[in-house]
Amino acid sequence: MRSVIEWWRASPGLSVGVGMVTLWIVTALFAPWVAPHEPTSMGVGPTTAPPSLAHWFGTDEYGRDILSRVIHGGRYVLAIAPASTLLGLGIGTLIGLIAAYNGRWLDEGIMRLLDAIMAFPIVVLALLALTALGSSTLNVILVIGLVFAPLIARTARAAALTEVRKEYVEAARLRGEGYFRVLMVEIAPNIRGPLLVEGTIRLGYAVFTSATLGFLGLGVQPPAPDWGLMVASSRSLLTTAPWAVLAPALAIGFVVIGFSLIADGLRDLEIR
Amino acid sequence: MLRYTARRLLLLGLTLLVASVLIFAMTTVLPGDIGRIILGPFAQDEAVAALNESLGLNQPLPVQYLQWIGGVLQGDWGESLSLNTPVLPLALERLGRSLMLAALAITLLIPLAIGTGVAAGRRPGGKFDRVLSVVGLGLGAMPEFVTGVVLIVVFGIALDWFPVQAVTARDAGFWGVVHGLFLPAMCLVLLLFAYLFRMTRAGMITALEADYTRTARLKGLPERVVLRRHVLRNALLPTVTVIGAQLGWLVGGLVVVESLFRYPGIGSLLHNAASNKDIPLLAGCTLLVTLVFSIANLTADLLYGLLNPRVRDALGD
Repeated sequence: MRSVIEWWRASPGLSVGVGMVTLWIVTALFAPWVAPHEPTSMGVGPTTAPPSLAHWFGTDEYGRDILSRVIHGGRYVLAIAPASTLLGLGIGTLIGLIAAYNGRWLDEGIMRLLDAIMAFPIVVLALLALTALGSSTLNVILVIGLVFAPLIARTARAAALTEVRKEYVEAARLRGEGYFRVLMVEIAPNIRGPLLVEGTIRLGYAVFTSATLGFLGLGVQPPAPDWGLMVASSRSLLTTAPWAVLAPALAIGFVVIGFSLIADGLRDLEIR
Repeated sequence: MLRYTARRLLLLGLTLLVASVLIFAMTTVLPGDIGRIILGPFAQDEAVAALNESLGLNQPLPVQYLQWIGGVLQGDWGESLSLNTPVLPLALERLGRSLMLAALAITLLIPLAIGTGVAAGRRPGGKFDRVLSVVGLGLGAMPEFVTGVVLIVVFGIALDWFPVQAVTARDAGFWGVVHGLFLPAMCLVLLLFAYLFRMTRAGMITALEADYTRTARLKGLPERVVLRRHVLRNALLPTVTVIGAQLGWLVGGLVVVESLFRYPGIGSLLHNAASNKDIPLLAGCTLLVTLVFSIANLTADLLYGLLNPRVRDALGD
């Protein structure tokens, strides 16, 4: 208990952020027990009823309980955001370390190629890739991870540039350690600080990107209660039943703010 | 400056080359059987094969790529499958509308972000700075359609100040267009505000602490002159490059905002092309967006070099 209070004093923003994200994770994980109704069953209430005691967030045009849909909808983002961030971190760190470790023309070549890829607007790149691959949760994870990799590679390279010249790297090489072992076992742990901060920032953007792709209809398909998809499919209810659009939109906002607070708090700690 | 420009132009060429190969790969190679996509699952195999033959899809990939890029360079961007019109004129017309929306957003954004950034940077840690930093932090990572929905519900429905759909009548006049596009433009402003605000604020803080600022003050120059001639000129430099880097977010934002507000720009056209699997239209829109975006980026970089001799010299040699 005492450590919680100390933590709060050190960074109130970080604590609030952790609390918000925890609430989302717990309700999403235990959605079948927390949610009052099945997310896809129709007619559990009247159609487009405003928020009431029976249906806290109201109902949509099929009489589905919006609170239940919002709670279940948290599961998609919970699966996509961490998985795609981890994928991006893995690929990005490897590319960044290869560039920093080899230096010279390989470094130059890799970085220019990444510059060219990053010249694409992220959403356009993801739109193109998902149209080509077909939309599914797995493809969304793959695409977000691949789109994030160049950004993470830049951070990893910048952090590793000072590490690769240190003596422990030379020592490991002389000991006869393999190429990838030197990169991932020797160097990578020493740049974990910047990678952790980059990872939390990317996690926030992964929520952003997966919600956006859901909104554009490129993620899971109806009647799945994905938040972005819910906003898009209830768009025409805006004037008659605004709660059907507001509830999933505010759910995304809640998680995004939680992650922003955590990323900002961690950056403060890193600076100290 | 000449060497710097040449270097940037070379990079632009490389970017466009990579982009065109990437677009070609994703629109022609990855989707698989194009003839089958056009004719649908119930078409006869012979018909699909004949269509693939007539589209030149049986030739080796490098040949197909060269034919495609050759056509693009000569202004032949193919024909949209879902709308049955040539891609290029349609995409250009929609691009014009999007540029109008983007221009309004940038006109609102730059004075707002730079003004608040300068004010916050003069007293870092003050009340104004703390409130704006927290607000900006939340807004910067918020998907456009979330802020858009909130804006629509508050200003479009509850207060009824602005239209819910961004449709501009032909005879709307200047203020009519601004009124119609205000909500979607605000969405884009809120998306980009946080980063620009932060950069301006950080630039201000660094410039205020710099030796040249102290020297200028110790020389006895009035505070107004110090701020304008010494602080602002240096503080706003990083902001200019950030505007260039933020254009990518702006383009992505356009896709979402135009779809939410049902605005007929290039972003919603791109989205429709993707949902209808209209491959030629998708390839054309992506190519056009990348082209415009790269040129805008180049302009921002050159402007930065022009404003900052230090960068120009460092990169030129």
